[in-house]
Amino acid sequence: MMTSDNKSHRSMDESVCAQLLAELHVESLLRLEASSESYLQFLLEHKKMSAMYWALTSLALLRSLHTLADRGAVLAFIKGCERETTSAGEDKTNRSQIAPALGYAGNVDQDAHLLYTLSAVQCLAVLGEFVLIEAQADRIAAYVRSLQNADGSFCGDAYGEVDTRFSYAALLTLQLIRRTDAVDVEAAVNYVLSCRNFDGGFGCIPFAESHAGQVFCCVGALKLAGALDRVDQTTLGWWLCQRQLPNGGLNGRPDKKEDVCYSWWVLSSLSMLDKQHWIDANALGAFIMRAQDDEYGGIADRPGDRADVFHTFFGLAGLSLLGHPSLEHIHPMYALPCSVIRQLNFSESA
Amino acid sequence: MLSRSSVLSIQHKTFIPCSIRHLVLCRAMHGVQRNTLQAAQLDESGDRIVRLAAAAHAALECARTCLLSIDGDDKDIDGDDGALTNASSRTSRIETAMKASRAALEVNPDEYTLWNFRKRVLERGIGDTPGKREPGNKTQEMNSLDVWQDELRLTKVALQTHAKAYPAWQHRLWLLQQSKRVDAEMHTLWIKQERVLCEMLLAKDERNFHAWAHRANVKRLALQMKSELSSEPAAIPGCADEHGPDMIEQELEFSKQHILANFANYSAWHLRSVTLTKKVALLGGGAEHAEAVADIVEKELDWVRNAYYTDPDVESTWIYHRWLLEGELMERSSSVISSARRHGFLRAELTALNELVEMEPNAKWALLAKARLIRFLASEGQDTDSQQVQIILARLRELDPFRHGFYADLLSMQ
Ligand SMILES: [Zn+2]
Repeated sequence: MMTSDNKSHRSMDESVCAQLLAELHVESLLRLEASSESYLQFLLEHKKMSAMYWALTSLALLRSLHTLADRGAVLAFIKGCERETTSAGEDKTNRSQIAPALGYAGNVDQDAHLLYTLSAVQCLAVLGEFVLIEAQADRIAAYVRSLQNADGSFCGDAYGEVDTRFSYAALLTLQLIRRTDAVDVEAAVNYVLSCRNFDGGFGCIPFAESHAGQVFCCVGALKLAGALDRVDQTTLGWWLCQRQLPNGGLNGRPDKKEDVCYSWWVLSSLSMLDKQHWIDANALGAFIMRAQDDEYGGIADRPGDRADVFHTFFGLAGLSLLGHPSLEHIHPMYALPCSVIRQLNFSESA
Repeated sequence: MLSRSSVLSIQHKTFIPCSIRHLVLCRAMHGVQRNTLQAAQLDESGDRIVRLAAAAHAALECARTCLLSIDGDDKDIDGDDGALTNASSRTSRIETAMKASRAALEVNPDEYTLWNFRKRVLERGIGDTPGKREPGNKTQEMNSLDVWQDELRLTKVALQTHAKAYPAWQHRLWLLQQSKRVDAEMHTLWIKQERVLCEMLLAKDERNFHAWAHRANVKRLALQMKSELSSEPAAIPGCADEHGPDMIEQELEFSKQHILANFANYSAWHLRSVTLTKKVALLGGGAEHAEAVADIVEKELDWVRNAYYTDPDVESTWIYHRWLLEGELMERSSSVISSARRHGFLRAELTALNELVEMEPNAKWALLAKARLIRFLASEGQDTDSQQVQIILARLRELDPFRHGFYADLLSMQ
């Protein structure tokens, strides 16, 4: 039950909304230009696919994706990161009958990884390339399936690292390519639940400390599987709302510093639990605004620090969840603009 | 194939040459203050980054050609005239690529593909010397062990400067797992020594969750190893991951040291809650353990009281406090110790909280804990002033305005 009193905490005041430096952010994103001298290619080179997703989605949230001059170059980059992989654990004699697995790498000279496979599919979705997604769907599903373990957990790649981040990446990838039946969803849910802690949160593996980033992944995975009713939502909501600090920012664990990226991880989790009103929207909004670079655009991890594309995306995504009128609404589970999800569902019914 | 120089490939007609200031936007950074880096320093660090990246790029290229040649050579038919030449050129290619990837990873351990390359080379090594070496062939054995030892050292070097590099942690765990196939004795030793590395990194950053998770993973490896060696079932009833009694005391001591150094270290409190749950599970549900369990509960309550009296605003302490009153330990203890005794503990705790709230009327964590405890005692049929719960929640709603909606919902649930 919600009183009208609570509702006042749900959205930001006009005075806070007015502080968004939207044009500067668009400029700074578009400045991520082709340049062989750029730091970008170096610093994010192993995860350029994710950087691409952060940049494209930020532009989409700012309703400026049309200013992207060369979609073709983006698509060619994504194509260049395709990797045919042999799915481990499958009967070799039947290989010919199985769709060859397709994963995506973090960059053109890197290996396939589940996280970059999700980023690639998210990029394609933001660009509206649903036909392309569907054409690859069976092969991507084969890749995701090859990474599931007997206990329901997922590996990030062929080398066996297990983490609840990969549970979310796997289920969301399958949801976006509409192949959720490719894996054992019930086992996946059980593994995620085995990483739940007394405090209501989730860790990266069983018995690991709760961490807001992992909470986001686990809540997202459970929501994707329709299993969110299997956790104690009040305790989880309590842990999440305690992340807000007196300066309005959110931290990721008890007694840690605030950071703009948790604006997304904590807030989207609260949103999926329908408890976004358990924190103060104005205070968080104002904190994100203070972390903007008012000279060159972009958002930093906290006020006074240097802006980067990662925190720019998570800051904008947080403001979008807080209902900023100049931003496209972002979907808390898909981490994509709601308009993209509407198109995806439309293309499904068409 | 696209060249790496296409960057994000986001083009704009008004191309602005990227100044250093603009370019830094591209990095996912934490805690780099805007004013602390002068342009000159940025230029310098920019040059350094360009050099590192060039090294990574060269190493990736080197690794790629090396893997192509390995796969290609594997298909060659033995006995061919060129086989010997192929073998030696392959060896030198591997050596060059290993050297290049090592140099790149020492300074940039996030390059996961380079770690993958090294795993593939090491896996070949296991294939060549599959743990069943010729008994007399000490040289070969030493070489193989040296390689693995060296590889562990490389991950250590990387983690000392990049303690949050996921791929370096993953590579290290992979090495520990796979070393079983190389040398069972060394495998055992390496796993035992692994705590040293974790403790060294936790001394630098007590909340590094990579290091805490690595500890948990290594514990699991150690227990696997132990159960394989002893061939007796390692499972403790009621515990998904198994824990020997010796390890439990070690872990309790470890968490205690970290908590005493800083009450705000929730990572250590968390380890303590997980470990105590296992300790009580290990004792079993028999009435003969009543004293032991009661003793644990009482000591923990004493201790946590000391922590919150010292600083009532530390969130970590209060989450552990909530676990202590409502978590697995109390749950399990209810089947072992008498309810009269348990209620005695809880009433004493309520008195302690009341005293704190009298001294610190705005201590929000203490107020919430008090409300929960009163509600719990009432649910157990104990005589308490349950009207207090509403009053406290209403007060918290004013005292802690950011979470106004949370308290309002709790009030409506009452
Ligand atoms: Zn951050």
